[in-house]
Amino acid sequence: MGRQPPQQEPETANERFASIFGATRLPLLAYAVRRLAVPEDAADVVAETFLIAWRRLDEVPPGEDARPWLFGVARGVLANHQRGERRRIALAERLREDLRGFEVPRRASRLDDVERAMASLPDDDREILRLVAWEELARDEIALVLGVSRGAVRVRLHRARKRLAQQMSVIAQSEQPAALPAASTPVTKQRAATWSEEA
Amino acid sequence: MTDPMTRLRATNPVRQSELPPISTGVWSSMQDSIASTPRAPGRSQPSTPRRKRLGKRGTLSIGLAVLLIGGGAGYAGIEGWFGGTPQGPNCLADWSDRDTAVIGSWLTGDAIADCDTFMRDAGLAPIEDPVAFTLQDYTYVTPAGQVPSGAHVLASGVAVTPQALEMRQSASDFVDGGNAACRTVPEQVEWARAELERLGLQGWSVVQADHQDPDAPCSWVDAQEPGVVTVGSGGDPLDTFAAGTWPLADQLRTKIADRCLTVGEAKRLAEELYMTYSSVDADDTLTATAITDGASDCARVDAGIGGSVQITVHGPKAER
Repeated sequence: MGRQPPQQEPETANERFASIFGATRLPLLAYAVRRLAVPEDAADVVAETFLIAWRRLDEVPPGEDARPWLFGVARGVLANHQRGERRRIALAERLREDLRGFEVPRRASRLDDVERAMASLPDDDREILRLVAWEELARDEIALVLGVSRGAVRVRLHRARKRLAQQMSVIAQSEQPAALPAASTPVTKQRAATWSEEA
Repeated sequence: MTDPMTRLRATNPVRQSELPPISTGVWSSMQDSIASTPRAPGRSQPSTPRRKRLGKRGTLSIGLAVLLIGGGAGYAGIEGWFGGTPQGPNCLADWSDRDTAVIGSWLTGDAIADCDTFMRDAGLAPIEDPVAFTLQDYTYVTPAGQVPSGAHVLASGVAVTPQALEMRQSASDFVDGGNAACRTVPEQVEWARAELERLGLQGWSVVQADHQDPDAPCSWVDAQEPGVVTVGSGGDPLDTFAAGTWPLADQLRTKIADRCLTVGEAKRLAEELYMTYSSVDADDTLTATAITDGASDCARVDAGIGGSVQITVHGPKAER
């Protein structure tokens, strides 16, 4: 008779929370910093999200689904924050201190057409596109974050990508140099070439 | 052109590796502090997945986001455990089953009437014997007999007065309201004051947001908080809204706002114009909200975007 595997002690609430906290604190912080004008405000969003997770630990899905569940909570907390319902949470103060003075890196491409195209899309489109591109969440995870079916994610994402491409195309067309008379460029080039020959 | 998603990835403002270093002590302190707070009672059954259903008027059927009510100096004083949206009614056929709440932005300001509409749009039965009440700054509608202690019952069902609601809608309106033009902050303040005067909202104040971006070319205006209109610097609405918004705005302006219609005519026309000029998918429809204003000669229109377009027309029932 084979040896029975040792009986695994059930994970206590503290252990489970510690495991979730350790695995998701940085992705959640990055998520909040990306979406807030003042990086240190992300400390309150993260703290509030984990407070909710702790209070509702029995509802946090097991395994890898915990991460998108937390993003879903953080999304709600952010929405309230952006509506002006800001809460300063005492236990976030030390994290605020560490974030104080942090400046979002400037990227050469930050103001390019993709950002302008994104700015013209509805909020729902922007959010789903960013969850894919910035948070690198899979479709199943996005379904958990948004509280919708996988099919709905697929449809929404398809439409959002299409609208993003359309907007980028519109912007690209509008930024082309003012149309010159069709013949002007070749004529100029021909004349320049002629002068060159004359010279 | 490079794939848009690849380019979008490149615009990620802060990669995780670029976050400032956070000391381990900060994290462990936060973790320990949270874990020392009381937890909600456990459930005997696993929770069901949250549902969210988009419908007309941007109605959401959504598991209520759990919010911390209170906050401030610390978490220990947090007692409530409610939530939902503060910008409209939270409609619950069963107060004890908040995962099936239907929420949406205010349509008329009458919580019971708006919940009736939202439940119908979501394909659900109306709430039986509905009662409207407020609890910790949120408005709920539940069956009578399920009102929790500490709630303030709204006898009339009206949570937002028609004038206050029109101020909110006008602030977000892209036809001829707060989002219709690029105004400087002082211009937007003047606009807001004129709107308050037009709507007879006395005692309201117009304040400027704490943080102003000196480089922002235009401004935003918000009237969600009763009694206060807030103005802040912001981007040009022309760049902020989808390109397809503006042909619709032009049509609503010239065919409704600039003419003299009854509220019924304006509603029908707004719905037709939305179908013709909006850039949304062909299978989308919109039901405009019509509010009778017997004191007005002609209908006026407000259109805003909050996920989807919401159009409200105010005006007389018949020509005057």
